[in-house]
Amino acid sequence: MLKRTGAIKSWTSDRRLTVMTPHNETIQRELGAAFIDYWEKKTGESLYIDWRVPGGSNEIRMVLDSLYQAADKRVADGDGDGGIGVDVLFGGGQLFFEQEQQKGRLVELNVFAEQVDLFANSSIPASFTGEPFYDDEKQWVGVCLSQFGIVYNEDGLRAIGVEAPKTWDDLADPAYFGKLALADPTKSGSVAKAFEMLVQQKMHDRLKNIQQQPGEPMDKAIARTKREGWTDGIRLIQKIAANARYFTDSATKIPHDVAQGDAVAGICIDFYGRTYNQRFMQPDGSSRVGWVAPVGGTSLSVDPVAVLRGAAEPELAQEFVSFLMSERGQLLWNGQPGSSIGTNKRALRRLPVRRDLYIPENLAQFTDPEAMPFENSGDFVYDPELTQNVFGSLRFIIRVMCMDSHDELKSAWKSLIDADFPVRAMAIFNDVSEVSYEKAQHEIKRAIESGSKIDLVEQSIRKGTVFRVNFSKVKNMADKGR
Amino acid sequence: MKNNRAILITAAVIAFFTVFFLFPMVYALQAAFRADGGGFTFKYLLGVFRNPIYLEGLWNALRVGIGSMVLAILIAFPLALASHRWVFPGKKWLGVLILAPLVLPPFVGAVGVKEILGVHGSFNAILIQFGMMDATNPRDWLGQGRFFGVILMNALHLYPILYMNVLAALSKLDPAMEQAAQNLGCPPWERFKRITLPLCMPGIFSGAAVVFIWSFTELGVPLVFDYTRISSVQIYDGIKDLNQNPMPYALIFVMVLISTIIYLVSKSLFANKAVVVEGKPSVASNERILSPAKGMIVSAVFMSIFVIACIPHIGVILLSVSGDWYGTMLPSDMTLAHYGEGLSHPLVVPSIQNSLFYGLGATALDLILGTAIAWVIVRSTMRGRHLLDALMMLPLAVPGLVLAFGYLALSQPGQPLDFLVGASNNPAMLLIIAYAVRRLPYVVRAAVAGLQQSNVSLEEAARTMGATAQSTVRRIALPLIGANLAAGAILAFAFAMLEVSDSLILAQQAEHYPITKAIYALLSTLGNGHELAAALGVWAMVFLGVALIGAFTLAGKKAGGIFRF
Repeated sequence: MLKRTGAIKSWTSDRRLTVMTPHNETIQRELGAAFIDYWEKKTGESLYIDWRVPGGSNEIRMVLDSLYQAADKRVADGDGDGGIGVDVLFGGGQLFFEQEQQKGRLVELNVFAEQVDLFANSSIPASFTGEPFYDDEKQWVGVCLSQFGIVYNEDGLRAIGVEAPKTWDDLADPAYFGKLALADPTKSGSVAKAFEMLVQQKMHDRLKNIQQQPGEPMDKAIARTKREGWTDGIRLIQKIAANARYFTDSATKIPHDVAQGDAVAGICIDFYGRTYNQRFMQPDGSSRVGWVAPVGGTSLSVDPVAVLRGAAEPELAQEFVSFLMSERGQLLWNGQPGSSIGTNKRALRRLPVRRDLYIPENLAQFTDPEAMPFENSGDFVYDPELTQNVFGSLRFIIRVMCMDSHDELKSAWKSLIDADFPVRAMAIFNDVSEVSYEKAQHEIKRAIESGSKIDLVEQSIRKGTVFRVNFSKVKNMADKGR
Repeated sequence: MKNNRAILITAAVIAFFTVFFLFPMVYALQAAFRADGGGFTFKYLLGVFRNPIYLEGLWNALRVGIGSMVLAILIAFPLALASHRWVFPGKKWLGVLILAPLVLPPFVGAVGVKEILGVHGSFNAILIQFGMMDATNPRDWLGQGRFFGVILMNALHLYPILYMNVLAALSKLDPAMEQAAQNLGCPPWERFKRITLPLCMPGIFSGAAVVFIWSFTELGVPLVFDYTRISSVQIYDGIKDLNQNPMPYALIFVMVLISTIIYLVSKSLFANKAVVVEGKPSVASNERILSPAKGMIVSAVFMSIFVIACIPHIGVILLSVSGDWYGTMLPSDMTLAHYGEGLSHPLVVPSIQNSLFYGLGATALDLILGTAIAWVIVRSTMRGRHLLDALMMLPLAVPGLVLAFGYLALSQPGQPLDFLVGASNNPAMLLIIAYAVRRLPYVVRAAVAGLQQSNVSLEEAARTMGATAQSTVRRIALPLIGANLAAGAILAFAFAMLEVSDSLILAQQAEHYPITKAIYALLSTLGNGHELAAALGVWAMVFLGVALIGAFTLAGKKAGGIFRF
């Protein structure tokens, strides 16, 4: 009844590579099998890959902090080499890797010197749509692409009477009330990025046609336009949050709930959307689950890999990275299972980072040949100047305005919908001056960076109270039709 | 019991507890008191009470705790009474089935509930089929009425704890007392109020205490309902905050404090007034055989509670065989493929072996420690033993994640608990101890209840006759509380097998995964992850069910037949 597999055991293999990753089980199995196979053919050594999966990038961050703290203490006591028993860090988003790199936990990758051409001729561009694809200091490199978008349920859309969403704005439609599955930006850098993109898009829209007021110098006009764009973005986030059923830190919960109809739409990453779309695909090509990248509202970013400081198997780790960047390793991400370039059993549904591999012979064996990310994502360019320095503030604002006060926000929005958006109540609802662009750049940013947690707590209590009071006011006024 | 021995045992158990519970807990909670520049501060603690969101969360948590406890009592007590007093059709099987909620595996249980109660789930499909619901406007059960949903699900999950403890208590009652009251003309309700109820108070209290603290701190159930305005979810959210927020740790401290205070207060009100039985029951137990009609009614009640409590299990079973399950009563294209794929997966078989090893080890450790500490609490006259009692309940109140991270940090090479994992990084010893610490409250409570109800004069008589202390313990005391110990051990084992936080954080290498982590890993398989995990979940349920039935059979022969099977 319980079959034993012929899997290599850690005690019978010649060598062992330890990889810490948030990647799902399918990626581990398919890529793992391919690398083990490659290594055996190359060196004759059998290999066991020890996958460490504490959870998502958040859990990995906490585990790494804990492990490195102990390791550093050992080094200070004159013992040990600073290693934590893990060789490779694989996946978790580009922001996460930047943070780990800043903490000095990564080492230089050989692949940059070995495969100079790839980087020189922009098979792997240094950046795209404003996002870096590899580290300046060569300590991490993007392996596959990801994008955030909107996943939706066709039956659900029909039931609430709306068309398929195409832009972030569509999610603010009151028809979605209680039916949006949102991800929690305070738990994931990538999700926070998606919200940042939303705000940037609004700022870009305003900046495309700046309305200079009489007597106003251009630079003042630009500054004012940016502030207005920010306010547009915050208001949009507020409405989307008001429609939300929950904010979850579980990435797979969102597409699953949408597929099961418990939510009508949600924000999720591209390959989950595609996987669920295919899973429920009917013979005629339709599927109850669809995914779309919002027009002009999302950038293309990478999911990197790196070698950790103090790795027990540094050369093997570097070989793993090189394998992932090789043609074989890259094509596995979208190759059809069973095809010459594809995986063994299951498709991974992700897109390789190497631009040079999107050629007809390969595309013929891709599971998603029409995705063409480099062609299709060019109309949004992430501008770090606009929002990068207020990234932390944005997360704070979403937590305080939307999540902590979620119950009150929802009540207010419901009352507004039922009363058909009375003017005065709506004005109070739209008053987001507490979290303006100015405040985000100064007051809130200062509180976050001061390092004083108690100040941050004070800020969140104070601002949270302002919003909750406002939302109650809105509800009362709307209930009375004002 | 001589006080010297009591003090020795206490010292040993306290040492164990300090190293393996207080130390990691304090280590993990220090963030709540660390001032910005180092040093000590109460600001965060005060911040909890000044934040209306946290206050509301605490209030909701209290209401959920009390509500779940009361509902669980309302479900479990009549069932236990019925099981104790009457014989009705199918009693043997129903008595075991009613404990089914104990074997619900984590993660997939929640998924199972949603398959049944979701917007396009089975329940709505049934209602639509019978014309009781509009197909274009299905009701969102999980989205509305979340507070009561949480209480209901908690009560349905936890009533077996109360059921087992109350049944064990009732089995100790001397029917002679009730019969005497009946002979003297006491009406049934008065009899119940003045004789039965006071006598089984220790059992009710021990079960209720566990159920309250568990519901007060329960995380999984509110998450199923996306009910976020409650302390446990606020803590969980806060711990994972990218800004390393100290507030959740302060909130944990407050919750632990509240749990302890409530526990101590209710213990002084309810449990210390236990009336001790005078020796073994002097007449045979008087189970009445009910008339067929009445018997069928009682059986039907047991059966319905069983079915409702098993909604998550049914969900898991159906999910494990489903091709697609959307808007229909039962899954469309049912298949056994997930079982084949799941059970041939390299993670699975080792995980089952691992869980067995960890679970049995932890239960054995708990039985030894729990009995010893219960002895001190009940039989000795050592001062401060009531505080000791409260201390033993603490593991229930501390959220899993916190303790798990404490263990992780302290078991790193060079840290104090490193010896537990050793160079090979095998977490077996660490997991056994972690599980044991968490399950200790069940065994302690059960053993304390048993000792409170056993008559100390029997032991004294043995000592007067010349028996040594060890002999007395082995041949008189332990058999008398055997039933209670069996109840505690069964609960401890079941929950150890299904333990989540420690398993996720501490078992880092695939070869050491227990079942719960294997389920979690399988969940993330693209495409049919939920179905695969459900297949393993069903396996875990079946296995645990068989184990429990086996345990009942064993306990039944040795424990005066309460759990007679």
